[in-house]
Amino acid sequence: MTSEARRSPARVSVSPAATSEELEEFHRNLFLPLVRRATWKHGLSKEDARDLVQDAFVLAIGKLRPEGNPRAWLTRVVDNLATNLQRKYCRRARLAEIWSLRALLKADPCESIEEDVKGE
Amino acid sequence: MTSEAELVALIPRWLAQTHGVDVPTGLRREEAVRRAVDLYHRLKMNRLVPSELELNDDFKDTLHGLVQVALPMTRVTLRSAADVFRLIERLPWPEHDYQEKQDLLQIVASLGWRAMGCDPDEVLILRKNAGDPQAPLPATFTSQSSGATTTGQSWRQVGQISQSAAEEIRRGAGGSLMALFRFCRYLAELNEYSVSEARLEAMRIRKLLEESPSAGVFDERQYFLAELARLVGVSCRIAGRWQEAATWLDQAEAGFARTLCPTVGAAQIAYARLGLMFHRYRLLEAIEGSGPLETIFERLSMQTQAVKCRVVKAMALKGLGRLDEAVLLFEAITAKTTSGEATMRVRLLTHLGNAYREQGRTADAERVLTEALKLWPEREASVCGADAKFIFADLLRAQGRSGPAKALFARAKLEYLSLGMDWFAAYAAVLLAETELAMGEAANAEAEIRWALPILQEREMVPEGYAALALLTQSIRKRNVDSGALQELRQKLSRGL
Repeated sequence: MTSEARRSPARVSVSPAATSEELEEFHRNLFLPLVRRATWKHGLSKEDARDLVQDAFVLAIGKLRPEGNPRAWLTRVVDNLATNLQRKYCRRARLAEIWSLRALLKADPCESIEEDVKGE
Repeated sequence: MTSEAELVALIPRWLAQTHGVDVPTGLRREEAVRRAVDLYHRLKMNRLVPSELELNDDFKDTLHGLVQVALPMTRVTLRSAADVFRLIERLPWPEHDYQEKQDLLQIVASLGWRAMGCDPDEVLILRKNAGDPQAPLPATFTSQSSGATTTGQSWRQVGQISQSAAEEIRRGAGGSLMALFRFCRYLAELNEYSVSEARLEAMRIRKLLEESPSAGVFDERQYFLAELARLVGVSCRIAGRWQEAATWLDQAEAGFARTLCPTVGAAQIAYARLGLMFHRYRLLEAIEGSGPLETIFERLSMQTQAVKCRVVKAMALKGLGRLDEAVLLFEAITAKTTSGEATMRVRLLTHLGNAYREQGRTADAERVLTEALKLWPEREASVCGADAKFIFADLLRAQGRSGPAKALFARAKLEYLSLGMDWFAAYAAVLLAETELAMGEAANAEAEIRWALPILQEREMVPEGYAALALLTQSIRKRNVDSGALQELRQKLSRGL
């Protein structure tokens, strides 16, 4: 699992169950707009966008102050996480390209992979 | 509707309840794009029915697909961008929705501006610099605009610039209203030479724009309505019509909030309000507000405006009697200005000279005020030139050099009058009268006060000011000018200047 939310549920303090209306409103007014932002502005798949927004919520538990501007804070965090994710994808794509070139040249793709990673 | 704080409080519960659950995320990208392409074709063929435009989450994804994928895939024309813009603009999007609507509209407008041959970044630069006639113009703008650009003399071309702005508005839909950018820069420059003319011209063109609902393509009409309201507000502030200025600035603020880049407009309104705070003697507020606003301007890369915030802070410090701090700040800002920025430099030297005078450093005051007067052409009536003459005259008066002081006060008064700054002319008349009284010219002093009283009576003042004004009025009726009341009135009037 890539999502930190899925990895470490123990960090989340479980409150009494919210009503379904409250969760629906949360889904519609907070979750979905952030997923759309990550999807369309940053070009992520819906699945990646969902995991990323959940990660932003996990960060919010420790850091977000309700007296500030929560929406602006969450938007900024989603933008930053999305940028990081895109960078990660770019690095992976470059490595994949190197490996495939090696394969084409009939070299062992795993031979010096550690050097390539260090080079990145 | 749950409040922001309540929504935030729901985050732990949300995470707990969605742990391991496949939370719905709306339409898949591919499906959204497919629907977007279909929507675009039906929009082009004018086959959309209102029931299809219900703003649910699927439709929001479709709109994102339309704006970010489907529309850019086509050969975007001004008309196609405008059609999509109108479609989104009409949708009743909740305001708190992460500015999704504004983001979408910005993307469409950028595509449309590109189709017109305008770089969207340059449009933003023009909006940032609309009130700064010295700021360089982007290349696209200079190549598109015919005739004169602002070269420091464009304020003389009243008829030509105003006429082309009016013609562009009358042309109606389809225009970028580029001539209005030139008009706004011209007004900002005209404010320095003829405040009343600038105010009247801005109001005239604004009214024309108000009556032309089809002018512009995207948010241009809304933007220029707001910008022109701001410029009228600035003219009113310079002319001393502060209540009127506050009303216009409120109107401009409301207008900017409806444009695609509201931050720049909001910051400029905040700056104009900072100036009003100073004039209304709310000096501590002006000092507190200047720092954060300066930071905002720096973040927006609007350096001239950032410097102006520091000037207001220094003026407020001087007003509070914190002269050492004020002088240090004025000296630091003045050192960074060049002779190329004549208006700004003259203004700064005048403030610095005034602060030196209050510190008792008369030689320094005389030196910088002389430099200020030399920088400005003698024949040219301007706000900064009139201010420099006025402050120099006050220095001479304090030194007991009544003859030259009288001559300079009289010139400053005339310049203020020609600029449409009646209140400042009346204030100059009060000082002129005081100087004439000191010279034993009671009849001349009385005439000056008689002329100034009706203007001064209209002005908002502290209660002591009204008391001094009443005493002075009474003494004038008895044909014996009360020099004590005159001095008292002058001191009260000098607050906030």
